[in-house]
Amino acid sequence: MKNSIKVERARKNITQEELAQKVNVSRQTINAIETRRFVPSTVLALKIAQFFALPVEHIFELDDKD
Amino acid sequence: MIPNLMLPRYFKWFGLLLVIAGFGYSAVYRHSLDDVAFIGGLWIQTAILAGLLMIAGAKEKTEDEMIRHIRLTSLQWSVFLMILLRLGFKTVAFLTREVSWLPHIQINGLLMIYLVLFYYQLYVKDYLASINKPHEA
Repeated sequence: MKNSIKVERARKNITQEELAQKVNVSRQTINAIETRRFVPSTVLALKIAQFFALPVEHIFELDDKD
Repeated sequence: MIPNLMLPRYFKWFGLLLVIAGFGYSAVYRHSLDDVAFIGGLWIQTAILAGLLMIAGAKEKTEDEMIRHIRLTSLQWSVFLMILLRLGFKTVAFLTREVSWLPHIQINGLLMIYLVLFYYQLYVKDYLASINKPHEA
C-alpha cells in the first residue's frame, strides 16, 4: 500500500517524532509506514488522516501488489 | 509478550541484570549448572530464565500495533529456527554417532533467538531504513 505521509509531513513541516506523538505510536512505526515496511491498521490510518485533515484515501492508496 | 500481561518497562533492566549475573557466575566459577548435587545451579538457571522472560516481557516506551506485530513475527521465527537448530544438531549427532552434537538448546535458547530477532527488527531495520533515506526527518 502506497502512502503520502512523508509529503504531508513536509507540507506541515513536522518530524516523524512529532507525528508519532500526535497519533500515539512510536517514531519507528511512522518510519516503517513511510518506507512501506508496515501496513497500519484501519484505526491508525484514520488517526493519521484525521491529523492531516484529509480523507484516508488521499493518504493511503492501494498499489499493484494489493 | 501477551499484550495485557506485559511488565513495566524497567523490568527490562532488572532482567538484564539477572541474565548478566547468571551467565557471569557460570562463566567465572565454571560449575556445571545441570549438576543435581549443586543447588546453586537451579538458582542460577532460574535467574537466567526469569531474566530473559523479564526482558522479553517488558513493555517498550510506546507499545503500539507495529511493536505487537514485531513481537508476533519474532516469536514465530524463533520457534521455527529453534526447531531447525534442534533437528540440525540431532541429524549431525546421528550421522557422526557423536553424542556431543546432541542439542542443548532449550527454552533459554528460544528466548535468546526471540530477543535478537525482536531488537533487530525494531532498531536495526529502522536504522537501515533511515540511512537509506538520509533526507527523512
